[in-house]
Amino acid sequence: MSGTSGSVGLSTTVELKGHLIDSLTLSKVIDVVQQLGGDYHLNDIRVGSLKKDISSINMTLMAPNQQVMAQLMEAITPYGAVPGDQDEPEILTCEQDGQLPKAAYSVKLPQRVHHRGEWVPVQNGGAWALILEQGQARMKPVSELRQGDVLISGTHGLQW
Amino acid sequence: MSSLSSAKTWTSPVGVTPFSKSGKPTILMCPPTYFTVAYAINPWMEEAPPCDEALAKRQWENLYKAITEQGGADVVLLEPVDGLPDLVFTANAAFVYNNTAVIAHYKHAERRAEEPVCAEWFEKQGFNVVRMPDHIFFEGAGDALTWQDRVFAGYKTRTDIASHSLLTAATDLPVLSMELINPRYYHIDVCLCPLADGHLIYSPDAFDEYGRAVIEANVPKDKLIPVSAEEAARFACNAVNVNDTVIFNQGSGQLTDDLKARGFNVVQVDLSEFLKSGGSSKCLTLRVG
Repeated sequence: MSGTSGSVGLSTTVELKGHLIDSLTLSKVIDVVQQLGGDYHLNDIRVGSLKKDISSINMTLMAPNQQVMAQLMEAITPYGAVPGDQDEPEILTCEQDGQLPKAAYSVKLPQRVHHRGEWVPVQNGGAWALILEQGQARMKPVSELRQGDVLISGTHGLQW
Repeated sequence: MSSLSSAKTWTSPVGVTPFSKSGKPTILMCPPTYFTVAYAINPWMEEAPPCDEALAKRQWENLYKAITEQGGADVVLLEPVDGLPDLVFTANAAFVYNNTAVIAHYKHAERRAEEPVCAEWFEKQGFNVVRMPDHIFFEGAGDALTWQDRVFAGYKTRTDIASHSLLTAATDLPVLSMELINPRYYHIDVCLCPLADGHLIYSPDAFDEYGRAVIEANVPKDKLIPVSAEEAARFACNAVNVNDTVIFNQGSGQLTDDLKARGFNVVQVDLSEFLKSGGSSKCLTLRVG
């Protein structure tokens, strides 16, 4: 079963387990995905035969871009969705200071806030990239990226 | 006035526990010796004026009397611990069914020191103690309430939905996972309460359309008692039901009338000092037998 909304650019697999049917959790997840501009395909559904049985679902999530995919994952994680694959993310290297490679994962934060009639700049707003550094992952402003920084690409191997 | 049909058909919401031998409902409470509003982990605490601890002790004693004298229940006590002000809210200690106690694993670090205290108490009473994995939060009977043969369980604000599968594995009870959408109703026991004979009171505003649909699909219309937003904000849904007596904070006239019309005895107790902490009568109790 698939939804019909939105254009498809990225896809990832997620799994849901729990009391999904009687609690209307699956309906809620599908509605949230579509409301946020994503799409889905149900790859595998196992519905428990007794009320106490746990159901499990494997679904492919589709989104037109990374930002929507991140929103989808953030929105459905509280309903128990976990990444369906255990792949590690693809890695890119920053080739020029302050420049984000096109396929790198990034998050855009607001740059100004309208406050008391004026647009106040957000001090740490703008684009942030996800980097790996000495075995740790952290967000770094794109303007502070340095050549050689190790960047995450895509949405595989990420958990919200 | 109709009378409750439950007098003979009442089944314990906690099944058969180590406390069932007495034949009377048994409730766990913890004296408010060290109770105060010491930190803010819910909207009620954030807005709370200073707590009158002496008044809180008198209010707790009035609740104790209502439960034992008017409700006819036995009360067993958990020893209070200095530095654990919220231990008084025993509803959160665990979810109890038959001889199993699924111990809370709190979302907020402020309450985690309560976990070993409660686990030790349940072990001493002869319960099979089940603990949640470290990465899954579950706040006991604050977020899991047995109605008939199933459990209405809240999630998102405090409890993780992943705990619901583990609750079923531990107790063999089916769970209805209910998203809590209003931060003021951070546990399901402040917005929904199963009562004797299949009745259920709830605040429709605390749930989204999916949650309301789940409630309506499970509970027959004539057993469902919606509570107004005004009365829910006075913790009317945070009620203790013992036999045919229902005990809750004072000031909920409509719910009182609705329950009396169904044959319940209603007792209102002033619990103003505990409301400052985001809890009321149900939060101060845990049915253990």
